[in-house]
Amino acid sequence: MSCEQCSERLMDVLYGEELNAKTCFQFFRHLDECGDCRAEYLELLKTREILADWKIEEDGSAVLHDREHFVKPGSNAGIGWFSVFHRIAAGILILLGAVSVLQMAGILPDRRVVVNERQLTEMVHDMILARQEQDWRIIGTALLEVKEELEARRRVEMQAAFEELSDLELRFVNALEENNRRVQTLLTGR
Amino acid sequence: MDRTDEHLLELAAEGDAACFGELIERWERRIFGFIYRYVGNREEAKDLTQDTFTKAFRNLGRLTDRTRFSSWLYKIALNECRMRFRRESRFPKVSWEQNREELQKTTRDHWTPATTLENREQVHLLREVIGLLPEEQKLVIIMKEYQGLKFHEISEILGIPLSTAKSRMYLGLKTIRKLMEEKT
Repeated sequence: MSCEQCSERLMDVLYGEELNAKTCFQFFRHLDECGDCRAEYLELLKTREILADWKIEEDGSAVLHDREHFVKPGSNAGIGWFSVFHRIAAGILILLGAVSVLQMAGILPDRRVVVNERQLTEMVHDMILARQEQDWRIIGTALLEVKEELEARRRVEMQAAFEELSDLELRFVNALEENNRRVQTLLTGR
Repeated sequence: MDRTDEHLLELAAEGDAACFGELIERWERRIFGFIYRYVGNREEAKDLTQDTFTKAFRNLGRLTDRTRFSSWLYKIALNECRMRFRRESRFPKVSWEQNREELQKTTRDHWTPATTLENREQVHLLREVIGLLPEEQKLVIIMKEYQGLKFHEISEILGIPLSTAKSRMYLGLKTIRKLMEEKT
């Protein structure tokens, strides 16, 4: 057996597959004679030993705990009530989609109000104007109320000032008359 | 007397849920072991095992050759893993590298008192190295070394020629050896 043939059979020997006794014997006889092939075989064997160290063990419980839905395959395989609701929901969505497609294609009348971009802009503009008008009206009313309040306060203040001035005038006139009377008394000597 | 897989499949296809349950009991650990070694995460492996059996159950009618149930099951498992990685836009290799904590946790429970520290470190290293293998080599290594599948079964599951399965195995073993030497 050549090195090439040995290499071809390497995996089969390593894993004990598809080899008859004669081929096996030839393979190992070649290994006795060829140091390179023997080294490679031993290296792979060693790698297999390392690979064998990795074990996975379960704690005894089953990997799958949720087996309830594996019931009656065939006609209703694995369909519960939840699944039925899913199907109904999917059906409604498909129906709505189909109606939309037919409406777009013009086969079904579309009840939606179609507004183009210009009309939409105008509508928004009108809405803004109406809102502004409302705001101005509120502001105007508030200003008028402030103005009226200020005028009323001013009137009250002016009335108070007038009354005070009148009082001062009266006291001034009285004081003046008193003064004249005293001056006359002094002049006449009485 | 133990019933064969084919017999159980026949009964399960006729509506006997208990028979499918028996098939699950028979195959779940092997499928879990395969998925776990491939994805590197215990919880994810359990989810994917569940998904595999759910899919198998729903598609029982499509299994024409019941003698090939195990290969069919492995194909479904592999497909589920690949779909999961595609959805999550990541490759299993990454999960090994990112999941050192998982590596520690999942092996810790299975050490025996006789297990030496050196041996533990070697297994940690081995798992890391397997995680670094190219996907095609890793799959063949897992299927052959840990699932004990024949080369012709591996070639059937992966849809590759027999010679390709063997050469991937050879390359995989060589790569493992090389990486182990580099890291020690």
